[in-house]
Amino acid sequence: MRLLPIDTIRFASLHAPFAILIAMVLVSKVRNRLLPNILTILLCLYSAYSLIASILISQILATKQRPGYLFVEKIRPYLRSQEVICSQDIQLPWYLVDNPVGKVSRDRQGEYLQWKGCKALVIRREKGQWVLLKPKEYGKDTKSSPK
Amino acid sequence: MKTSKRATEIALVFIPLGALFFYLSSKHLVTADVNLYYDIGRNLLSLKPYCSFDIYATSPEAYFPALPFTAPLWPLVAGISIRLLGTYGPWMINPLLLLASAFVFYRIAHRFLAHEQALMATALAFTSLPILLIAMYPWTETLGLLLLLLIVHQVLSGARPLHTGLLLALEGLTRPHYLLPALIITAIWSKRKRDLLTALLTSAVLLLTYEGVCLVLWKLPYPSMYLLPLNNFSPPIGKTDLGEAVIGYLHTLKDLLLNTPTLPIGVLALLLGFWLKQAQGLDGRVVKLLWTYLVLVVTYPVLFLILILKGVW
Repeated sequence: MRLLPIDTIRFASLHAPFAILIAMVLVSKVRNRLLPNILTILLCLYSAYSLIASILISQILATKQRPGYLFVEKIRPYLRSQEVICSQDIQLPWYLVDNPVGKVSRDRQGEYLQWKGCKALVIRREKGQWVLLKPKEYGKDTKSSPK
Repeated sequence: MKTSKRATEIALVFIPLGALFFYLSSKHLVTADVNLYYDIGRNLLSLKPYCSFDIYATSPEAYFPALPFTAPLWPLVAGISIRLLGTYGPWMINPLLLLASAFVFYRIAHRFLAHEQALMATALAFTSLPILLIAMYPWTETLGLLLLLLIVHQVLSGARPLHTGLLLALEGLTRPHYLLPALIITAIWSKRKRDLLTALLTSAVLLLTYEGVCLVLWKLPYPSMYLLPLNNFSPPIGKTDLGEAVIGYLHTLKDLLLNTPTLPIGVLALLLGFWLKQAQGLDGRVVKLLWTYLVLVVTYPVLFLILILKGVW
């Protein structure tokens, strides 16, 4: 879902404060009392819109986001391993992870880790190393699929 | 008494602002960029390879620093925050940086406006959508904005040019494409040519030092590393046709105008400013402020146009 063109708005973060500053400085120079009041009301309305929009966006994104590093950080205690492991190291497809809650299980071959909501993602300890097993289905993007 | 009243008013604006920034940041949102900053930051401090995987590499076998993220300052800050505060360190530092930006912005605004008006401007500026968006994610924009505001504050208050030079270098190491507007703004506000030259020289020495590090470590000059991803850039709609590229550019411009009304407000303010300058005259500082905004607002469209033309040809 395309909520807002985030990159476009992100670009504006540099000059947005200055836009409001020069607008307020200039209207204070105008010999007119109506103009500053109108501008302030408009800016207050925009702030109110921004507040509501940002809270809604953050709520929606928080439920939809695919955690990447945080996901890896969460599995770290389960790994009980000293080596640095990160999504780049094992090329974890962070956008496929729906639920970061993991569970350590055991089968005949040994210990493995599986995630609810993304059963394709399985990390198993093999010869002392944790490896990402080849998933059954990784979606269309093969660029980030594990080797 | 007056001072305590002012302090109370400042607190009344900044405490809710801080609470809002921390609330938005507490969702711990991530993007591909955020993940890479995280990786680079942690690896830098663990003496591991700078970045273990380049998300933008066309070949999976490629092994070199993640090109768009070779600006080291924010990953370093993120890395330190992970060390000190744990996994969520970058999400805790981000709102603090924004709060600091808001305070520096208030100091700048107070040079042009009365105390109450400056506070109002700060509250309005830091509750605009672009700012609230960068409060959500630990991107480089927050630190870039803080440094730019510090540069403006420094040159406005006629502080030591060495400090300005240091800030310029730090800006270049945070978001290299903010360096150009920062340099022009320094030139606009510098009172003496000697100060400007000292600031430029200081920043050049510091940036060239990092340049040396890049050449030794990766055999690539810093600007090239940062600009290389432009070769892979494709405009939002068109890829090869100029007509489609122009449509893509207009599409982005439309997004910018509709979703960030601060841009039309700024453009209207510019028009009003230059009209006021002709009609009743404006003092030099306000005219410099107009130029500052013009520089900031022109940088991105020009950069974007260059990207589109690179995509076409």
